[in-house]
Amino acid sequence: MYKNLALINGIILAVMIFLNGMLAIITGPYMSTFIYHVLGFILIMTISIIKKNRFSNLKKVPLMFFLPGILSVITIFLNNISIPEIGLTLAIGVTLFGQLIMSSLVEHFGLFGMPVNRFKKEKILGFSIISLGTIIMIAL
Amino acid sequence: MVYIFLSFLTGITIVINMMLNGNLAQREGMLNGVVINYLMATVSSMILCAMMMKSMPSYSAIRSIPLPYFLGGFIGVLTTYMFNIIVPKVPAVYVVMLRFIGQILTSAIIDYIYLDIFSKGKVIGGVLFLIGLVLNAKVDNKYEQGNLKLSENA
Repeated sequence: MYKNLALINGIILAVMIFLNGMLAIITGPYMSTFIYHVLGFILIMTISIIKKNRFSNLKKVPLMFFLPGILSVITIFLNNISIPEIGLTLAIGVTLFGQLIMSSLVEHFGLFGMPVNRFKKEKILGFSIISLGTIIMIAL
Repeated sequence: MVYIFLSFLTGITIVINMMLNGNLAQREGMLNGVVINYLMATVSSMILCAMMMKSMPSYSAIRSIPLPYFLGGFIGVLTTYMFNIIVPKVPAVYVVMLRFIGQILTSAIIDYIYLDIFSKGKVIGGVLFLIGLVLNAKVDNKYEQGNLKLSENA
């Protein structure tokens, strides 16, 4: 059930990245990043008000947790400047390669409080094929 | 080549974000997690725009934007929401794998239809990528089953 959600998540993510990229072609990367987040903010505030959400006391939230918002801006901004140049498939393919490397590091070292899951030598073959796939995507 | 490196960097920021958001959602609740996320993002992208005032589009350019292009912002909330549900339930490697399939297939279709870019290399590369992911998942499965047997014996 949750695995299906992960698949659907991928599909709508691609659509979202595409729409943002098209927006960036018209407005430039800065404005499109702003439009994306301001609309998202309006939507989540609307949902919050409908659900009568009790808002967190921002003063009590550790500073570290304000980082995701800034990282999200960096993510969308980098997407928005790359997609008009290299197309959607390549941008997403390389991004996923980056995600794979980073999530393996997270698991190997147990970063961000995740359980430690050491890198297994048997995975070298898989990672080599993945790297080859990424290189072919870039080169051909 | 610069853009390829930037895309790689995007992948790293996404994973860091995913981890921090998961922790934030556990602490403040999912809804508040997303609210804090978007509040900070809106403020910081506003600052970014203010710094880049010169490259701002004209009002008429903004008015000419087709409505569907604005949907990205709404879909973004939906995916963040979904993400926060998925991350604690599914191992990170599976999240990456399943999202990969969804994203690569969809983006290849969109590239072909709308951007008129389609190359065999991307398809071959994507398939190889997937084969590698499946192989890795099999290794993980094998270890998980091994652990189960150990715990049964104990």
